[in-house]
Amino acid sequence: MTYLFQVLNGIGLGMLYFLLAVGLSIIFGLLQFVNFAHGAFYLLGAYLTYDLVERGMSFWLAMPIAALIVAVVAGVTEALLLRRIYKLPHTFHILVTVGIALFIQELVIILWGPLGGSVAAPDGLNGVVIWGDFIYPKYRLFTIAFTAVLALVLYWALERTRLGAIVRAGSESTENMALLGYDTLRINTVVFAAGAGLAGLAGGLVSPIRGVEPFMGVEALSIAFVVVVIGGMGSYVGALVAGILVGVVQSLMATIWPEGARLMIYIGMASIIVMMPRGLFGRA
Amino acid sequence: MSPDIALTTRGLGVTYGKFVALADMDLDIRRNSVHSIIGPNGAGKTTMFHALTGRVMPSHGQILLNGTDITKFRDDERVRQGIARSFQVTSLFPTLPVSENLRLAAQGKTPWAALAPWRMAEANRPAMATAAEVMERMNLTAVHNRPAGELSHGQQRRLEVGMAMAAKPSVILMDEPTSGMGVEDIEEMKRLIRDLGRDHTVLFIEHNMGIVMNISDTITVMRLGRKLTEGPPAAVRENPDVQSAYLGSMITGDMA
Amino acid sequence: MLLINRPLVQFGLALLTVLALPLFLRSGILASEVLIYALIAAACNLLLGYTGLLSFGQGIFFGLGSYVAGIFLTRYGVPVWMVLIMATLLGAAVATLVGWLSIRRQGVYFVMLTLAFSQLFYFLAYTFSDLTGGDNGLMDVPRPDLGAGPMNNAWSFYIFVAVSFLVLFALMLQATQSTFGRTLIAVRDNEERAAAIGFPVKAFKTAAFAISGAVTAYGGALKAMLIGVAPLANIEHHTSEMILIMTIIGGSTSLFASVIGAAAYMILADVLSQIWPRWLLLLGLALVCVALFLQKGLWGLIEKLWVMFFQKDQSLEKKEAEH
Repeated sequence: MTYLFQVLNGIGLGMLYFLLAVGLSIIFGLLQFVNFAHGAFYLLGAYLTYDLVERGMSFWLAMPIAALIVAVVAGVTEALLLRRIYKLPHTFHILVTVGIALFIQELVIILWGPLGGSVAAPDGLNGVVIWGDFIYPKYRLFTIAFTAVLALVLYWALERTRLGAIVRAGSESTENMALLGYDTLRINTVVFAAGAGLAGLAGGLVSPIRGVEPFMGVEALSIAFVVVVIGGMGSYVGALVAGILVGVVQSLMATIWPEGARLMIYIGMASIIVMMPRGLFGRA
Repeated sequence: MSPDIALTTRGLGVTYGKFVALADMDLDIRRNSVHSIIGPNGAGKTTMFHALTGRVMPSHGQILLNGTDITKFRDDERVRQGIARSFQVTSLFPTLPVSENLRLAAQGKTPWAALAPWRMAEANRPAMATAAEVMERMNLTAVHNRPAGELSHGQQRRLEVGMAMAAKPSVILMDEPTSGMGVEDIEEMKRLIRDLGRDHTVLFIEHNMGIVMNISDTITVMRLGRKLTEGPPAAVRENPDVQSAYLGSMITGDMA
Repeated sequence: MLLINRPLVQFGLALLTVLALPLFLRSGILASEVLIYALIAAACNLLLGYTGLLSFGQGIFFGLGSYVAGIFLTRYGVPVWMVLIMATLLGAAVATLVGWLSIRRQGVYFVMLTLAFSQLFYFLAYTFSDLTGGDNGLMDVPRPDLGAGPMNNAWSFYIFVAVSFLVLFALMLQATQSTFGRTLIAVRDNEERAAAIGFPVKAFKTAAFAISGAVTAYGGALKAMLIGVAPLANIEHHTSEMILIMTIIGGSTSLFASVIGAAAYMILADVLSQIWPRWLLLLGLALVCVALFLQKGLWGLIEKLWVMFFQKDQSLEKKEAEH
């Protein structure tokens, strides 16, 4: 029973990791740009949700609004700053996005203080469900369902919509897009904003579970990297499988060897790299 | 095996799934000669080139370099065995001076010795001497201190070939050495290849027949992944199969 | 090569820095820290500037060095010189492992791998708290005692740090001038060609990692002795990031550039953090500005000024030679 419980926890955690990683992965696929500010967008999403809920807004409204604000902030950053540096070597991509991440993190501390806070689960989802022996927090069950639906929507958007087709074509070759006559600048902005918005949404979604604190972005960034490294950069399926894998491993380890749970993720990553350097679903 | 054959292939073939890119290639490259492989686009020249450099592993057949079977060797092992290549798209160390590009190419023959962080680069006298020799021969001495990235296109192509020479290889493989060149540079390069053939073994692939005619000792014509014919330029030129393969268009080129 | 980039001049500048710091800084601790970070930024530059590898894992080696100092000086009473050798060797060994695994991928994947490894080692240190003290770190790490009693005065320890700095800086300069360093530059410039002319590129990259890791671990041990603590923070992601920022701000066209980068970072951090605790916000903005306007770093700026004022004639000569 405890294992079932932990596997379920792991899937919930893994879906969140997927949400974090898929934005990073899509942005990279389209723009060949590693966004080290991705964790900061997640941080910002969590804090904005926290702030709006503190001001009395319903969580159901606060979470999407927070994600939207993050997307707008990211879109503006892309349009004003990032597009100027795509042509530079990736050292400068990293330098700029690390700078943005530092800026956002310090801004969060200035606005909301260094201590962090907690967010109550929304009405109707506090408490637990009880099915015989099985007892599970309602909110966690909700996050699994919510992210699963979101994953499906995202899959549909990538596979069936025009923008999705463009993004997939763009990951093959950026020139493709220009040749097809698309306004690549606008598409870049939209995709960057959407990827960051997903990270913001993940931040809002996770806030009732783990609370908010100013350094949650750094950890989220490195988890997202691990997921992308294991799953293969630019791969939707890779992000999904690797996200869940990492979540379940972390969750199971939490009962077997609690102190080493997070260590095991990284050891797992290192072993996968040794065996398959391109990740599970990476292209050659 | 005759001692004046540097490189031999027997029944060399490369297949990708069902697609046969190269089949039944038998070549004998004579020492100190210029041997060119020509053919229209899609004839399998590039596959042949990659199979010789080790970038593509052959599916069938054998490659012998000076009698040693190198079929299974990785690309860097083949370098040490004496196969050097020049790139079609110029591939230099753009921020380093010409002399340093060549010194590195010469040092590449004994790469592990370069792993010592205490040994000065200039202490490798043979490599320095080779670099100087090659610069002289490639007419690059005047620009020895200039970063390779700042050279003219023709100078870059000469440096490209020079880097292959600096490894003192048994065979130099060249991938379309005149590609993208202006008329004057092409003439200079042709003169250079001709000159190389006096004391080096050169194998180069080319799709423009006009270029190979008056500088090759032997020409192999390929079509559809196979050898169509082979022989001295005059014989190849007269061959009706070759004329039809080229639709008579390119053969009328520069024949002087 | 510009005069100011020649190895002897570079060493002279390092020597000058060592002599100048005591004149300008009141705190011997800060002066020692500047030299320690200058050393490890130069080691980071060996990877970034000379090999083209942007490593987010330098904190691993730094933390490792400080743990070696903490563990063997406090628990086993091993002599200082031996502890420093142990830190250096262990740093080289772990850097070889991390480097060898990370260079299996290139470009941004490589960067992500080094970052993930830095998290791995962080959690390793966090998990095995019996050895590392976990969150608390290791306390009471002593400074060396070279026969004249322990160096309680920060300035006497500064001398020890300065000598280490000069020796290691000179060795790294030598490495960059050697056939090894020149091959690294070739790998950075055009990896495919370097492999095609016969160099085992992976072995060279791994060796660069080993040297960089060794020097960084030595620096980590010095830092632990300086402040008397080997904290978990030394092996954190944040430390790796800071080392990298110093290196990029300094510039990657010479080794002394890293000394400038580290000194600028440490001294500004010291001043700004006293004025405003959220000074990292400004650092964030500064990084964006460096990427936009100062891509060759502070050293690039110095090079430009130097050519403008002192080597005009040289650039003229070059132009004439082209005609």
